[in-house]
Amino acid sequence: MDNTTIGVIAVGITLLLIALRFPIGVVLGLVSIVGIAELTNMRIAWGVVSATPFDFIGQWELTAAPMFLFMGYLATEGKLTSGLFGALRLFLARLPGGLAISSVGACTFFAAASGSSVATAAAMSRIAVPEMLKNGYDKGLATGTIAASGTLGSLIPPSVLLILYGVYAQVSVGQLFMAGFIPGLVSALLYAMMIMVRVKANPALAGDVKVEATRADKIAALKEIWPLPTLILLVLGGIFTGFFSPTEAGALGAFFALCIALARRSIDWDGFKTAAVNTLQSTASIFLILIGSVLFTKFLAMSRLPTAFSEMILSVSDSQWWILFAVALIYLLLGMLIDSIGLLLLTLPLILPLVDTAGIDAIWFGIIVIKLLEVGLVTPPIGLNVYVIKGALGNLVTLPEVFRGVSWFIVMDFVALLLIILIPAMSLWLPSLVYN
Amino acid sequence: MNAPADPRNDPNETLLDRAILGLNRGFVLLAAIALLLMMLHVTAEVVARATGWVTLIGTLEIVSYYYMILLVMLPMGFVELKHEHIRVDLFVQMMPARVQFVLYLLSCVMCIVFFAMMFRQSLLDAWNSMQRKETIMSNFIFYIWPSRWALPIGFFGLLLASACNLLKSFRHRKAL
Repeated sequence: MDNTTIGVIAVGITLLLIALRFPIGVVLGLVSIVGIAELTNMRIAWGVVSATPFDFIGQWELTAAPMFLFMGYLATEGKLTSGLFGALRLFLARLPGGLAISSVGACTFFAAASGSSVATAAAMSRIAVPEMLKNGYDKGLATGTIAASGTLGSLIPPSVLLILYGVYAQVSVGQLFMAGFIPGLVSALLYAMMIMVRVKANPALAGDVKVEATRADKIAALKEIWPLPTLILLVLGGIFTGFFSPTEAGALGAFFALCIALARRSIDWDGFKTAAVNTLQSTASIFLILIGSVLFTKFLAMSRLPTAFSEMILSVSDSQWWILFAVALIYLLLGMLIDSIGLLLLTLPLILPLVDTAGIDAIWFGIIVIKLLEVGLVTPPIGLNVYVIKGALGNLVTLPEVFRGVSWFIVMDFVALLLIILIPAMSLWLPSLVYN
Repeated sequence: MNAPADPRNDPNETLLDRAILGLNRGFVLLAAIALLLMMLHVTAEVVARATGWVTLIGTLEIVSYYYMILLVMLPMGFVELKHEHIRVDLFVQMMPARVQFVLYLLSCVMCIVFFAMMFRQSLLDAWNSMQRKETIMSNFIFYIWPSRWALPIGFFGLLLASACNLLKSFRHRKAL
């Protein structure tokens, strides 16, 4: 049996075991060890196991991930995010579908203070959805808004997915953060516009919201939420001006989130403990997959499968559009079944050599991949964010209602994706300002 | 009469369960200390750099090779005990309970095999590293051998947690 065939069989076994609920990291790791032993011998397999995990975990770039997760969990537990929705509704409630638009805005802010899409969706679903339902909003619109807007956490910096991609593709995480900023904002704007158009066409989707806010109310609301925009400005400003590395920005962000919460007495010992334990749990579960994925990368490289895969795709056409189409198809199909971090780490060993061979800009491609993964977070049957919202709301809504509501947002995601692909400057302009 | 406890949410069934959970909680506490130190150390480095008072030599090395390795590896067993490692549930949920049970046992066995291999190799590496007092290339001598021990400790925690889950699932005759 030739090496590439062993690689193909191993990928098949990997996908089968993952579908049978075996832990993704363990499957990737064990299949790789057995595969390397089959391709070479057990001594070399032990050598790869020995050399890989320690050196990989100890990379400075990866240290940004736990820091941003900690910052996000501290901001949530310290209730820095809880006033966002209430404040934005005072300003935006007069728009058609104003509460839903306020939710998109609140998610956008939250995404900029948190590294995780799921955390964004979980936090906002408990605050905004009950309020929308109370005001007679359609259940699909209310829940779909949060499920979709929650995905902005992957694209709007800081983002754990962008950090992982950056380390794998060996591109600057700071540049990736800048590259994700405009596409993230454009996605949010598209959501807001779609909500306005839909509600204007069918006012029954959104109940009448009577918000009588005086100037004093608005100023009071702004006073309540000022810490979060300040924190975001510090973190993103520091990275964008090149003053902080992403890790430094994450550490400062976490430190200031904690200081602000302590000064406002909005975090107690239990809240702090929850933030720390959640950070450690998220980090450890991501890194178990990372360890497996690094072993998988080494195994696939030995099998020469990535080269064969690239040749197969390029044999159809070497046009950039065909490659992007093929990659998008892979991510959209697998994104329906596997969660975003697992999918990213499973596919990069195969996809990155192809991107490299085709000479596609790795930063621009990263933003496209993350956008595709965002779509996977809301498409049935897995759609992790949809389940997070269902989990947070219990019997208030059914799964089909959330999936139906989110379908309009998926259409907007495709529009955003198309814009990102057709206008590379959307992603590359900001990094070029600072890094050139 | 009380309803039987859900085995997923009842980690304190036997003395062995309690001992393994207690050990892994201890590891989480150490990891939490590393997390906090990482935040404070990096913040101090930025402040020191901005004010120009003092340079904290070795921040990058200490953060990458000590805090990071500890906070990643030590909580892994706890995460396994809590069933928080990432899996795809969709297809198995549609299968009969008996098939789910068998698949779960197999997945536990696979975890035990993988973690045992990783434990063995990382233990040998940590031992060898300690023997030769391993350092990394830097502007100064920076020992990294102590942090290598976090890997066998983490994989040992994972190994115990997987064995604990396997036994518990077997006792209850159901997937956890």
